[in-house]
Amino acid sequence: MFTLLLRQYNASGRKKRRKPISASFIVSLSIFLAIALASAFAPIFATHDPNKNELASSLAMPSALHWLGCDQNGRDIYSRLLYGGRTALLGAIGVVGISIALGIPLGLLCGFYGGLLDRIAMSVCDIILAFPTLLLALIFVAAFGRGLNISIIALGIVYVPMLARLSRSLAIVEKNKPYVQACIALGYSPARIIFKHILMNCISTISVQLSMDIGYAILDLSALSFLGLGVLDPTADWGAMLSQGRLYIMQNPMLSLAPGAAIVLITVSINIFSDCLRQYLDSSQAKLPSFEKFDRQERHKHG
Amino acid sequence: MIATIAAIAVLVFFTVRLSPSDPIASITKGKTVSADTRQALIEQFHLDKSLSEQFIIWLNGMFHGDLGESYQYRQSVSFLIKQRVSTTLGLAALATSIAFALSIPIGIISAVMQDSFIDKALSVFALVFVASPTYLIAIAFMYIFALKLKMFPSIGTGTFRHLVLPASAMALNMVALSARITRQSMIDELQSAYMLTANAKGLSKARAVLVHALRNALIPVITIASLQMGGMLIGAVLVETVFAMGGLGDLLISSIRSSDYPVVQAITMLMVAIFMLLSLLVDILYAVIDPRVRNTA
Repeated sequence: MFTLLLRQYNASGRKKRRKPISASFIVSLSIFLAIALASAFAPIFATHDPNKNELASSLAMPSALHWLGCDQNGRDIYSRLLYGGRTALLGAIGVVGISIALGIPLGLLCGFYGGLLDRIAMSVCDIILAFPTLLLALIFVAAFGRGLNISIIALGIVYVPMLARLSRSLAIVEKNKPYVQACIALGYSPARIIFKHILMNCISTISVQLSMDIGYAILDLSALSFLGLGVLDPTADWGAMLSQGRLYIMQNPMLSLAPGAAIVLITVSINIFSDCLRQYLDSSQAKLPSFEKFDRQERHKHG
Repeated sequence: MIATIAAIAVLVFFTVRLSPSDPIASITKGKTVSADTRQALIEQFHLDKSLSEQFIIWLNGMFHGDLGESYQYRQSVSFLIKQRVSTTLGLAALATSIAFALSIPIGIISAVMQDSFIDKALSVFALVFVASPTYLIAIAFMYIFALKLKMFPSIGTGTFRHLVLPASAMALNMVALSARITRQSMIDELQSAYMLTANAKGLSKARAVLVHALRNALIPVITIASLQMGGMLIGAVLVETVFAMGGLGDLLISSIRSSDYPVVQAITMLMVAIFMLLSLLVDILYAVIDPRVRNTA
């Protein structure tokens, strides 16, 4: 009987209302995929070696040879743009990957078990959230030295609390539902309940947050590189290209405009995509209280 | 809150001190010095003591308004901060005012004229500027208004004219985000039952929207704004770099680059303190706007 109940619950949870996919969903996804493919196959699409200095064509204007011109060292902007996309996307995936690996298990365990673990973990999260977004990442970079890997790890840690709190509040909602009682009665191990059943029921909300986080991670990583704390020369990166390009803006504005446009384009497409994803995955989620509101309600309940 | 600040002080101090770089190299700017000078410097900056002793010296100094001495400038940190804090605070204050002055009217207009051409144009504007990094807007503003049109000075600080471009660049990001939130929450409020009541008892549309609906619609806007405040401080760091304004942000970045721990620690603590103070103010503001918060507390 319990198994039946469980099966019904899972079935109703997984049943999706078929909704037409909106045009903006397709457009944003294809722009994102186009940029991702262009970066992934950068060696094929690039016209020049991104790191080769050709001082003769230093600060060259856009031409048939160099489609977007060259930077101060005579490196081809178009080719660097493609390789910069690799840095941005791989970096963002790294940041979000770290926050998934730490944040989701932590949040689910805290939400499911509560108690001391929950209190300690949540106060650590509060401490991290007390820092303005990038500031903590700046300190980590100050302590462990500059570089792309350090920036990715630092930002990954900074992104953990938001994800942990989201999955915690979802786990609290889920653990009081009958299917979890059914699982416990069937004698499933807590690990199986948490990571198979509860996680599966939270995954749509979490995936929306993750898709937004990719956009934020691209912005934050490029900001660190812009400040000269992220990637080190000569690695191609949009933030670093912007930062160097602004010094030569009067000679060739394309030096900063092109990477800037790339950042805006990819972030806009990710934002629209995650908006559409949220609407598509579950229309009933629109009626749930916002995360902040829910968190406040929970705190009131528990004093 | 006190416990959080204490925990943050521990975190900031020990993270920064984990740095593998040699502080003496940072003090002497990489020059080699005699063993005697080196020993004297080590003693002067308490580098011979254990980390926990150094932490207590730093904490004790903070309570007495002494933030230590900068490695790279060899000046007291509180003096360096005092010189620069007004630029950063002025920038943040002006940016926040611009953001609120623009985003709330934009949000109201697009909510009232929902799905009109103006609403759609404004949402495209919001979509693009939410996704634009602050420093990109700053560079674009500098290029257009300072270098091409020569309406404002491009770099430096001192007068109000110097603040206009950086503050607008910082504000634009926040305008886009809070205009979207204002629009959404205004639309929700406009559909509520009390708007029907207001209409039924013959209130003018302007009064119903601006007095009744706006008050309720502002609550989520303030929540987002308080989260954005931290972003504003970071935005100031980025914008100051672009416009070479010599504020706290500039100082922070140059100190991180040259491992100037005392300055990094002090500015970080200051920024966290400002951020927490602003969050506290927002909580108080909730109670002012929403009487229900007052009653439950």
